[in-house]
Amino acid sequence: MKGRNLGEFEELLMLMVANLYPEAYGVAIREELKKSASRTVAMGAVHVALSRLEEKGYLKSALAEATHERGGRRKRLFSITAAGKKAVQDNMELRNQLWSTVPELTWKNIQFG
Amino acid sequence: MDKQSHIPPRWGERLLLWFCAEDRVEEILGDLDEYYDLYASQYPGWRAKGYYAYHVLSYLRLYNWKKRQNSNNWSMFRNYILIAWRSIIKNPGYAAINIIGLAVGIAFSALMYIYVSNELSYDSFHAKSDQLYRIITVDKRIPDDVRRYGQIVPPVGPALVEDYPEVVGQVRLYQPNGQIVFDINGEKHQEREWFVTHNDFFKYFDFEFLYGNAQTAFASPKSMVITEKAAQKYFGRKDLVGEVLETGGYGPVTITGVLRDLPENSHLKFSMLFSDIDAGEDWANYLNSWQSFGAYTYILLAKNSNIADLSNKMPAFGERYMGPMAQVMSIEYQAIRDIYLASERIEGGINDKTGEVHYIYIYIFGSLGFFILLFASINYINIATAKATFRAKEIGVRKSIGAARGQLMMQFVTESFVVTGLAYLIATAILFGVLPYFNVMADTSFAVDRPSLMIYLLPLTAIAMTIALLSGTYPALYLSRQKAADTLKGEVASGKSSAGLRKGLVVFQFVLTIVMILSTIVISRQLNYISDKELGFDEDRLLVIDINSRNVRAQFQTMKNELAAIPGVDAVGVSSRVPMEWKNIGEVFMKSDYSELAANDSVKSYLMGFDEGMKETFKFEMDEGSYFESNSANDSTRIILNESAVDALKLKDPIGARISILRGGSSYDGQVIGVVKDFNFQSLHQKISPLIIGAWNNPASMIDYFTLKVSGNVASVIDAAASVHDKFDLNSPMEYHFLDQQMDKNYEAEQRAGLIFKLGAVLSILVACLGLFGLASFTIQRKAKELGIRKVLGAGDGQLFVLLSSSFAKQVAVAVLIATPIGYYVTNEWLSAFEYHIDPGVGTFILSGLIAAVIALLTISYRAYKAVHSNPVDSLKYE
Repeated sequence: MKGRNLGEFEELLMLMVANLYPEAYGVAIREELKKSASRTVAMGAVHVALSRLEEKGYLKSALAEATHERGGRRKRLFSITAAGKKAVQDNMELRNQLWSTVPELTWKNIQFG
Repeated sequence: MDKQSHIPPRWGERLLLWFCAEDRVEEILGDLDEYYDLYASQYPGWRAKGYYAYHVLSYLRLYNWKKRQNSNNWSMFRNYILIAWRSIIKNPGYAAINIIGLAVGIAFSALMYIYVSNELSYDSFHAKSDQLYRIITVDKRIPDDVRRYGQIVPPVGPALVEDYPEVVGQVRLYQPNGQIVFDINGEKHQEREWFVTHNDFFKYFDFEFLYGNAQTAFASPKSMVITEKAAQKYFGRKDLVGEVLETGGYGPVTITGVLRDLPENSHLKFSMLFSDIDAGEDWANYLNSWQSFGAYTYILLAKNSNIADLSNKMPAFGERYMGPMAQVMSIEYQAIRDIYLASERIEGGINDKTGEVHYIYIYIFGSLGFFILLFASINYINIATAKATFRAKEIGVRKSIGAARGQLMMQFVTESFVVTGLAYLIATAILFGVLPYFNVMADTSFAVDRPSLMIYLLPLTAIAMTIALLSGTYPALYLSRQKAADTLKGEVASGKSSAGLRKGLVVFQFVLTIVMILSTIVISRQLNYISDKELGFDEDRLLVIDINSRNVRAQFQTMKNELAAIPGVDAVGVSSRVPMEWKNIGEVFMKSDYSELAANDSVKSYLMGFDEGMKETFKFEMDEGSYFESNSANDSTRIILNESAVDALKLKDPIGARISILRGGSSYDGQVIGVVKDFNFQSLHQKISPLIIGAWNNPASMIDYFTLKVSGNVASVIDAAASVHDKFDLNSPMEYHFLDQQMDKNYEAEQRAGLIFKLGAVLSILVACLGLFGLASFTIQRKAKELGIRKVLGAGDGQLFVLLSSSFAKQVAVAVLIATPIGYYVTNEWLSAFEYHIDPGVGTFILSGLIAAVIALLTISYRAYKAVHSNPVDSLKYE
């Protein structure tokens, strides 16, 4: 089913959310993307992608308690749903399977340089 | 972090509160606050704001759009936009003129704004820049020649901190030698942009660290920081923390930090900064001696203190430490933010700015940007009002159906916003397309990356909004005032007064255009004049090699002979200074019993030491007497004067005269053996001053340069010279340049100004012509019927053409009359900075008037020609 596929960026975000649990929210995810994946993206882009994933049912979110930081504004904390986990797993399995069936010859014939 | 220390700019919050859906906005703003807090400490100044703006704008997408209740206002508004769009489509020609004219105006004025604000922002990026001052030495030894220096006696800084509580701290920088030599993997390098300082430096000056940090960089002596660029140049990589640099003279020095490339708007420029590298006794003595000189010293003033109060205490301070010397040497303070703009009379500061005038260009470019923008908006207003006549019926119909005046005004303002919006988009594209070229032209380095673009967009947007509002309001007021009945009959009171205003505006624009054309012509003629002027010696193909070692100085004769033996070298001269090249030529006082001046009158003069080869190398001419014939050691007191020196001293019979030459505290007696014809030895900003040419071994100067007259292949001569050089100088690589290239550097500021003027002239012509074109089209369209009738009655093409263009010709003529005195004043002011300059002459004024007139005529004639050649039936059958 086409609509259920995760894009590359979406998959990355899902994994970030999973990794940062329970502190997965906008800025934290963006900074982590920058740090571990060397991808600098606009915060707006992160937010929209997260909201779209939530609409698809792969993520769920809740507002955290307000603190003194952030001008007293609450964070929206994201976490992964069962459907989300399945989608990420499907992606990984597909990839693993494709990797395992690549014939040896492919790698041997790569020309370097 | 329990409290937020950095508060982001308010506009982001307001914009997003308005834009975003309520259930989203809280987390978004929270994230942005946190983000800003995170980065504001990492990137001081505008950088963090730029990134913040970028992220705020990244939220402006349809997905986050707040759903609004559909109201009638909203649909009316949509209708206005639709009508505006249709009126653009209907008259694509007018619209294009309007939009392109505006776009050019906006782009250029934004560019000027960026340029000027950058010039004004020098040294403002240090957090404490408002409290930092540079100490200036004022030398009043000669009452009518008071001089100011950007250096001071070394112990002054610490003494100030000791004595006055309001002086919180001080930083001293030194440059013990012109260059530092060092060794990387067996290869020798040298760097001229270097300073020695101490551990307080980074407490006051905020430069960004790429590796290492401000707290630890200078924690221990014998450490250094290097800039990103220099690191790349010498090491080929940037992460150098912990590396050891093997320096000549100071031994191993540890690299403790790598700085991000220094901001362009810093007067302090260096590639390497060392901390306490010299532990020797000489150095310690130097630092504590009230007799030495040469420390660039900055102080940090306490927050609530006044620099004037401190200045008032300086006479007592001088008295205390320097005794009677304080009468003639005193201390002044200069705010660090003034250093770049206002140091044309301060000599010997860091990266000396003596004679460089910056503020005048700020006025010129600021007003240029303003005027071009003004004219672009005036043209818009002009055309919009003129066009109103054609839209009279639309207004009439709207009024009779019941449109209120406010609504009509709203409609026209909306139209103006649509047009300006389009112009704004084009202006953005122009600005970003032009910036890289502008950087090359004006020798600036405005970054063309995302955060800086956001910064530039702010003035651009502000300018566009202001224009849209102002230029929308006038036509809106004017059009909505008309009576419905009149407009339906097709009569719009265009009014005599507004016609006069329009003519006035055309004149005004052409005045600016003519002044710009005139200035461009004068500047380029002056620059040509400078490069062609006979200097009194032959400056072509002179290769100058610096003497950087004692060893070379001691054996210069041998080295000179070897240089002279290189094939392709015609002559070799040795001198203490090279004419036209070096700013700091030694200054001395001379007096003579042979002089007809009053007995004790001394005359100021420059002094350079030349050897016997200089005459043949530079090909200057003797007026009388003879030149040095050999480099024999007994010649040391022989001197040659230039004609100006002979005149200044009033020597009747100079040959054989004895002159006493005073330099600093010492003096020597010289005997004149010859007089040389005056030649320019300083930039053409200055007139030829008295000059004493001493022998190479005279007591008042030291030889510092070889100059080679090259006739053969330049590259092979350089190679051969370098291998000769390396035999004598074991420490530093050969440092050389060509004199004519070095000379051009004297006029860099003027060359840059010339280019910007050219750009300004082209743009003001373009904007003025677009305006004229629009107006001419309008006038001719209104006269269509008149033309038709005249044609039917037998008027010839020529008569009609004259009829159409005569009023514009008159306006241009008036503009020429007004522009000539203004142009005369402006160009004279500019030329007066040069001692040697052209005289613009009547021809130049006539020429620039003619150019403007021809351009104006060409602009109108296209329209006029079409009108004259149209079939009268077309215009007359209209009803």
